[in-house]
Amino acid sequence: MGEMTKSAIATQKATLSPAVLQRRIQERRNIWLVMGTVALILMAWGYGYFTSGADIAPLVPKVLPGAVRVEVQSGLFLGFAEDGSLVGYAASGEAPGYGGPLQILVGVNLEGQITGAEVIQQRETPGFYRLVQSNGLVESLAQKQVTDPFHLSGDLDAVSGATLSAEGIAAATRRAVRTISADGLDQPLPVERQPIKFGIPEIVLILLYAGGYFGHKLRSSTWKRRTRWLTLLIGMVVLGFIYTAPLTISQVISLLSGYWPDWHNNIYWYLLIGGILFVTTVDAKNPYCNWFCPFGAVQECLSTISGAKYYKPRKFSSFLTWMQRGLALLAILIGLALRRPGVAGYEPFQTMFDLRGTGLQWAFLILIILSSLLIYRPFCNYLCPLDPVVDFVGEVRRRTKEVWRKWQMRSIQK
Amino acid sequence: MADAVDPKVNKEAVKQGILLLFVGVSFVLVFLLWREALAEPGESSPGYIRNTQLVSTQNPAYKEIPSDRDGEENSGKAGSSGMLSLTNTATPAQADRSHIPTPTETQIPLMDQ
Repeated sequence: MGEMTKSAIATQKATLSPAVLQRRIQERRNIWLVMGTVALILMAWGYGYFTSGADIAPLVPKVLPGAVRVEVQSGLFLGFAEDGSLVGYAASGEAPGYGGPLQILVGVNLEGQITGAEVIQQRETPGFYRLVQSNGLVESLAQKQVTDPFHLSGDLDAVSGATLSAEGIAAATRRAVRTISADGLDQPLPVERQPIKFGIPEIVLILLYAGGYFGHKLRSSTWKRRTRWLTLLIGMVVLGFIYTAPLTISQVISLLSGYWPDWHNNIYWYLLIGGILFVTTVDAKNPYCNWFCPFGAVQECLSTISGAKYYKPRKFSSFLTWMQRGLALLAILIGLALRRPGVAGYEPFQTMFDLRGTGLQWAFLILIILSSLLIYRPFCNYLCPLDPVVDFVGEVRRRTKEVWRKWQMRSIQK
Repeated sequence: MADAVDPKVNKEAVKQGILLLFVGVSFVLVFLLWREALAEPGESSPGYIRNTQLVSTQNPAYKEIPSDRDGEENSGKAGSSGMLSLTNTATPAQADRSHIPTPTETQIPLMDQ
């Protein structure tokens, strides 16, 4: 029976045209590539998960001056002086920042005054975190009382250009202070009310999704082009120059790492990532890149001014595509393995829209801008890590649909 | 006789050269950017291992005490509730805190990002 099946397969193969055979080989290779990619991502995730974490206790004397001995008690650290007297308490607090959770250690003396604070772990993009450091936000926590509100633009100075990182530090501080106040000082603070943040960027984003979704369904090419330019320009100005909130690979890595920010004040994050995944899965069309990506819009404006055309020579097409995919995969693996989504991102968005960056970041941006005058959207077509991610989602969608269709066919035949 | 060069072929070669140069230089810059980013520490902790409690107990300078601060079996032992308080009889949570300001209702303003 088995031999008969084998011979039947061999006969079927012999009758297939080379083109069909080639396609089948390609399909099989794609399946292995998808599975290999998923396996690599899972391995990086596992490595990152089991190797991350920090030893906090040795840091306690740094935030509790005078403490020479530390005892740990259910998340609360007690610092003792040389004579054995209690100096104060320390606790760590965690809250989502831009690239993942930020963890801060706060020391408080017996009078309820903060004696020091130290960021234990952060996963922010170095550029953002540098802004927070130069702003002196962490240092400004010292001398405050545990009863203070610890809010940006309130008793703490906001950090322009790194609001999410600064907000993460403020929220983590509030949590640490609450632990100390309740467990150490025995003065529980009132329950913190979480406001829901929904404003202009969220509304604009929803409108842009709608514009992209309905725009690509328009039959008139003139109106389609006009709508696309409108969404592109709005995306560039609002999501780019005003709010500096484009989609980045760091956000995708944060999603995969499980670093999901608090939804109350991060609805934009969920709309941006969830919206793209939802529309790409349901409609098989990427609404973001072509319709309102702010950096794509900048490149497209430059290409339009110079008359640069799309260019991908057939000879190198496959090589360039796989290089871009490899770069994206490497970024994801770095971010997951180190549990630091912020460092994996290499997009020059912050340099472009916030005009901040290191020498290397500026060099990269200038190279892309100059290339945009010669090649249509060079970053999007050859370097952007998000394009392969969206392609991957599309491929998974196609495979799932295929399996579902086959399963349905089998059910009907039975 | 010199070979005639097809201008179209020449132009194509220049375009390919520019493209490959752009991609090559960009890749080098991306790797340098990663190196730059990874050089910045993500944590200030001297150790970098997961189980904080375990490390603390292994380090002789730090002791972990049970959460049951007033439990009988701990009284009088190093690291028990007796050692932690200022009065030597009360737990840290029971120490005099009349000097600490009373907490007020926390108002959280809406923030711009």
